[in-house]
Amino acid sequence: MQTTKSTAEQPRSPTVHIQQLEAEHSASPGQSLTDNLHITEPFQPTNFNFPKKTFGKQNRSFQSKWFNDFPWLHYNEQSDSVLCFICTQQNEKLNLRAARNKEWVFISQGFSNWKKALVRFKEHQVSECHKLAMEYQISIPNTCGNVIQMSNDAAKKTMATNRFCLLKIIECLQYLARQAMLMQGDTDEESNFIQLLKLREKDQPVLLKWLERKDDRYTSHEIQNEIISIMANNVIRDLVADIRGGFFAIIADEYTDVSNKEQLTICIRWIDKGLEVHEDFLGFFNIPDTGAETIVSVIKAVLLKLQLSLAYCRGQCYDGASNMLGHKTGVAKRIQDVQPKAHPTHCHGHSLSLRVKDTVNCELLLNTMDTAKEIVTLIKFSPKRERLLGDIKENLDEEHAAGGIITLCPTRWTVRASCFQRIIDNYSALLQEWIVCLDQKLQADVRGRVIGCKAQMNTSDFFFGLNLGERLFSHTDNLSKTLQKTKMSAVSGQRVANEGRRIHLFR
Amino acid sequence: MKEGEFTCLDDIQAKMKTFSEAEKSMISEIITICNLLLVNPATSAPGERSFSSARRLKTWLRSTMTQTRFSNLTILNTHKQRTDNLCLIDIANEFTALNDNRRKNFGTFKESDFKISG
Repeated sequence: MQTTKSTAEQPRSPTVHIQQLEAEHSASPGQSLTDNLHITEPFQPTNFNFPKKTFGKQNRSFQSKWFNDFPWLHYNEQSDSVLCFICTQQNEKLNLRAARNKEWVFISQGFSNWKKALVRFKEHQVSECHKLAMEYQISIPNTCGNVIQMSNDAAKKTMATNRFCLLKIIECLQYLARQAMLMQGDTDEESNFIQLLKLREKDQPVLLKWLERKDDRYTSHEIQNEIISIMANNVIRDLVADIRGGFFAIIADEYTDVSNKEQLTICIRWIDKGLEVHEDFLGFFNIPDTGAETIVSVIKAVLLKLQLSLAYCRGQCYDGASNMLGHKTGVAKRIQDVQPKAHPTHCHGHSLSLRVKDTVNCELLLNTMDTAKEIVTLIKFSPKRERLLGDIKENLDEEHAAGGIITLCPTRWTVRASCFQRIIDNYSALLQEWIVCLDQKLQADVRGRVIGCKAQMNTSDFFFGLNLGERLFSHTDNLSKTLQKTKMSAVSGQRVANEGRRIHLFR
Repeated sequence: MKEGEFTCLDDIQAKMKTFSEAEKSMISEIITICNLLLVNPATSAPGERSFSSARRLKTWLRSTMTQTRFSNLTILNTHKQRTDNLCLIDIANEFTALNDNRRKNFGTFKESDFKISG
């Protein structure tokens, strides 16, 4: 029906039409109707320019008013002929086997002799074949006639509901993934995913029926994984479409996750048309070992998969590990063998860390840091002592603004100023705390540590070291924070770092 | 452009952003040089950032997650903007196209499927 209609809107010129008539007619008579059992009513166009045919001296064409007198007429636009809609339908359903003298011209071949049209239509209307078809059409319409139609309707509605529910499922997954929330729970019923769907069923009661189903719910883990991976692929495809064609730089690093697996992360830095810098994450890849060869092969495989060519790679940035930046067989060298223009950079953040470590390599500062670490450990690893410190601070009634002690960052050298600052802020409170602590019963080793801290805090060396360290580290902290910004490029980084050289003056 | 107006790459970058497409095409070589300079990363901070999101995703409670799921989730979590802009119709169609049974169950998704009819 759909195709017939669309062609009816753009009628072809009659000449072409008649040329095609024979061929189409003989090859597949009445095709458009017999193939589409689900057509519910005959095709009866009224505003159609019916092509003219020559009969002797006269040109005749189909008249649309005939549709009124003979409602069973089905016009076939392709072959410019008519069929009996009822007979054709019943014949398809094999209900006309008992009829004698079947008029095939109205059932399958198509009637187009317009000169005798009215006579033949009247004849057909009273023919035994047509009467039988009518009988079937009227007497058993609800049992046989419309079953297909009805089931079709029901199926369509179910499909629409299915589509709606699946979209809701995808929306839920999208939300959970975006917010990095747990999806599975202790049991499936308890999982965030199912509970989120249940929450939404309050707005969309259709979901309730869906979730009550035993099977075909499309909520299993496999389905979740499938949808998540389709979404992730789409995101990456979207991203890569933006990157492709411009220069980019590779940033890679490794890390061991909680399940003790070595993860390689690959990020990409690229510039968009508006000269805006982007740094985007491409994925985690589990690697069997941290050898340069493995890492290079993973990087190459990823770029190949994303159809990004190394020819456009203009930079690389890694931490200072030897497998990454090694001169002979490091990752950077291997990438440069393929693309010499990919300039390797030693991560400024990491090298700043190393530089700071060298700078503070004097006895005074090292001692200060060790003592600071000891103080933090004593306070932070004992809820009792931390509470005590809080109480003392309240009694002292000063420096309300100052927070408690914070931990010395164990991994980075550059996030220490704030720790030092807090110790300076809480200096007197801490001194009191040690006195209170020593009055209580303590384990021998803890007692020793407390005495040590107290003694250190009473020396001028420690106080000087603490202040010096705070000055020093606040500069490097700042520098480190600046360097981390996405817009920071290697060139600007150099410039900022040069200004940061002033920290040497303190030494 | 006055002398001393630009002291660093950031200034130049900011100035370039104000140019129109036509002006940019006139100085395309300079733009290329800017691209080359800007594209070189200073730190591996994005890598470290991804570790942060990985720690959020793969916690002790979720340590048995498969590698594919983990990687896909981190992608969706880090690219929040792009995740929000995903065309769910395309995703649903991609999902159903994988399997004949699904095609029978769902048919083709259209924009109108977001609302339930009847």
